[in-house]
Amino acid sequence: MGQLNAHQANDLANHFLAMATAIGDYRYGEINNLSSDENQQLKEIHQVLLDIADELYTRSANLVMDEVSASLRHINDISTNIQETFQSIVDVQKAIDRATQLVSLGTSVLNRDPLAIKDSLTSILTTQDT
Amino acid sequence: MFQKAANQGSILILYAILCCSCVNLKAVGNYSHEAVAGMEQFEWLPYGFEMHCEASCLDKNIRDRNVNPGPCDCSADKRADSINRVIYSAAHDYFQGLAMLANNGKAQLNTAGLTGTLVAGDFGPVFLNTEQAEAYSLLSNTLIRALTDKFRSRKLSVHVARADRPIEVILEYLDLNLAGNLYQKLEVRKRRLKGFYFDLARNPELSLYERTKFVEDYYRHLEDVSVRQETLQAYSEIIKVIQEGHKKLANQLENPKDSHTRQELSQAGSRLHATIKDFKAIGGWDN
Repeated sequence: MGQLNAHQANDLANHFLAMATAIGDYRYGEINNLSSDENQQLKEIHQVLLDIADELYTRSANLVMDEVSASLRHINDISTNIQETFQSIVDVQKAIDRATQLVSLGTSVLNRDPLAIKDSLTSILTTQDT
Repeated sequence: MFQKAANQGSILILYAILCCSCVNLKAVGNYSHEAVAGMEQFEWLPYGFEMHCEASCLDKNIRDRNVNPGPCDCSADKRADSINRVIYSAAHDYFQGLAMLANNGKAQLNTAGLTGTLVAGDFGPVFLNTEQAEAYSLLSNTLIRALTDKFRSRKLSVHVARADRPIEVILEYLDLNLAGNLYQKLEVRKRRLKGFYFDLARNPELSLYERTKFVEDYYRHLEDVSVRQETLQAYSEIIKVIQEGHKKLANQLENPKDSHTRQELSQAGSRLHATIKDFKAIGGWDN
């Protein structure tokens, strides 16, 4: 079982389902020619084959993890990179905000406005760490 | 007068640059947004592996007329559901990231502070009046938008090219699990139901009324299973359209000036929209 991959397990399950279907159809078609015991036997085989197919579909679904783990890692890395790219655009916004503060400071200096210089410096210092 | 005309001319040129890069990002944003909406229909799937396991245990207990059953081991089916959720989340987050990066509105830079400063400022010999400040602000806004749009297009192109194969792989396996394995488990359930009801419907020891009721039950269960299968099939269609669309997205980002690839991407977005509508129509949801 460990040798199978998800697609192979799915194929195998499909074969078991097809066999179960064939046996079920045979039982329904021949019901008037079957003894009670024969009918019961076919019914049980039908159920067992359906159970096997059912379990194989679950196994196939579980085997998927082995096959997608590398791709999942790639996608998660790329998603993180996209977030970082977006973050770098937000950082451009920070640069514009900082530059704006510096322009305000320069204007205040040129205007020789001590109160405005103090406010601008405070604004720059308080946002420096953000 | 001359300066004013020159300003207006610059604005027009930059506006043209901006528009060219915008159209590309808009198509990418639209497609990614539809892909997110498509992936999210996963939350509306009415059936899972664990649910199937529990239903099968119940069927078996009814078939065996067992009112004191042992525990029903659904651990492997639970794991299958978890795997599907992990794959779904990875694909969903990826498309959400693309939509966010391509979305002009959210990433638009705000230069309002700069405008305020320009209006108020006296820059040595150059004094800006309100009209001039607004014109320069519009110019800087346009320039920054054009530059960041180009930056985003370039980055998107790299991310989408890198993700093309992995996203194809994980979506293929999500499809295998839902439309291949889970859908087929429902086929198994259909066969079990027929096997069970077949003998009851023709049991001579039961009254005609009882046998008719069993047949009625059978068709009701069958209808229920069929609707679930139809839903899985419709979600599978969404996955396939997303997969095809991602290839067109990669083509468009690789050839941003090619109007044919842009049109193909736009069509993929429309097709995805229609497929989501079909999915919702099956369950009568309006999510």
